[in-house]
Amino acid sequence: METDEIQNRVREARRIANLSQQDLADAVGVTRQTIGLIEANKYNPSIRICLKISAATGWELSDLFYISPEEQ
Amino acid sequence: MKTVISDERTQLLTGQLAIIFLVLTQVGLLGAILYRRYVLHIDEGNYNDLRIILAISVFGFIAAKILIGAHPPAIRPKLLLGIYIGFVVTMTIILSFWYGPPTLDNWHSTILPVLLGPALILGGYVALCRIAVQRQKKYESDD
Repeated sequence: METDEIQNRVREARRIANLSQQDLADAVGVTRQTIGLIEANKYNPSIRICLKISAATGWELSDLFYISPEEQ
Repeated sequence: MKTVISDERTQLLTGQLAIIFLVLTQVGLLGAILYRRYVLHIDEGNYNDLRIILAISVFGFIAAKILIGAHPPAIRPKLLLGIYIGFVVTMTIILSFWYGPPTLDNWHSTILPVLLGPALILGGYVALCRIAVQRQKKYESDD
């Protein structure tokens, strides 16, 4: 059975943009802990937060967040 | 820039925790009521306040969930009728065991509550579902 898993490259985008987790959190309007959980795939942010991360890092939304099918 | 201490994630977590502790409180209230009734054999009038609080909490939560929820439950008349009959039959059997079979001379305190109680509950449920569906209609479009 295949299940879809939401993945992200937020950590990679953040580092390339030379932003700390706190910097990105401040730019997006969330806590640093939330950025950490997003990067660790422990929390799926709302589309509003996703768009703000996209604007803060300069990456396209589809490059930041994607669905990768997983085999079960 | 101001550091954020509360965001959508923490608010979501707060909501989830609130529900958990709401349910625990409701279960605790029910336990307290049953303890007073069946262990301490205290007269019902002495803990009616607990019963009212529990009723408001349970029914208020269910009503709010139906009204505000994005997917109101589907209403099937046959299923509703079946549930109503099931309620009435079950309550009649249980209450007959406890208090004996109902009689017509005090029908207003034996037969009427059994017939009216489930009707009010299910009627309220149907009304809430209809209101919830009407609230959603303005967001529907055919294009």
